[in-house]
Amino acid sequence: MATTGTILCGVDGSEDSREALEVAARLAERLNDRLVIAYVGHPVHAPSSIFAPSGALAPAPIGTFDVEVELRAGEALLDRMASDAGLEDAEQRVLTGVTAERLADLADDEAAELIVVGSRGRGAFRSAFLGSVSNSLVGIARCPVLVVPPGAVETRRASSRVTEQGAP
Amino acid sequence: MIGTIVCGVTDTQDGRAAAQLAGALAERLDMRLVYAHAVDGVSRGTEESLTARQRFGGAEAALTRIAQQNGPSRGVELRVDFGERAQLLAQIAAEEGADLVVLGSRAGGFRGRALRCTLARELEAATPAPVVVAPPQTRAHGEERLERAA
Repeated sequence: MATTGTILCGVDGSEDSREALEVAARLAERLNDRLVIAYVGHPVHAPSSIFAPSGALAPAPIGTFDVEVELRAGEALLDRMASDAGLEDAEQRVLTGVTAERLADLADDEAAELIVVGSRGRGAFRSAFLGSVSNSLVGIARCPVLVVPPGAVETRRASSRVTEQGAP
Repeated sequence: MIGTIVCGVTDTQDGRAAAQLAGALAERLDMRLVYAHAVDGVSRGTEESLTARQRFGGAEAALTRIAQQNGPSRGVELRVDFGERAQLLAQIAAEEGADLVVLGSRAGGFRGRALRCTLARELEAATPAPVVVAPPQTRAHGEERLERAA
């Protein structure tokens, strides 16, 4: 059967993004939509660019980062997450840049009808940036954004178990 | 029908956009749909005052009209109650066993990129259900896609 639309799921390897992927996969199945999983890497500054070949300190070009390293890491992450979730058939995209902006642009390029993300990502200053990607994305995306809070999948599993066993 | 969608609806452009999106999702996912509206700013104990009753009646009428215009073909359930929006929506989502909560948003700030949807963030913390935020109609594309597919 031909798919009817596209659901884009942004992941970063965090537990919340795994839950988001599970919700996105379930929705894609029920809507008969194509599922695209995307990872947006951040610029990683290459230490070698700080020094000139002679070892003398040279001005580092602003914004220099190792795109290849980031792309390879992103591809490996997507392969692992798709495999863990049994979604080997899902399409994968790896990008670099500002996460919310790249996801919003990708959603336009893919004509996505929905973007799915976890409510929190990973990062050293997690508490300071709680939900910053999901919040930014909701502010700029041109399609609906589904934000999956922590524990959403487990809560749903628990409620399904109660329904199956019959409420007391 | 498998599952329930609770949609926070206000009689504004963005509230109607949320109602429309929730209607399209309920239709396509074959889910039960509940439109909910919170009549806020009414002090406890004054719910029976003339002003409060008028606001309640106005909200019921608006919700009925929005449901007729945007609800799925098999109908939609309506809930209006007094309370603070995020708290009441979280409570209704819990009572209805919501699998999804749908909300509207307003664009604001520089070039419309900043989001004015504190409700979504408050709800995110208050309910375990995934929250779908409909974009402001000024930049909506995805809803059209959903409606075309419905």
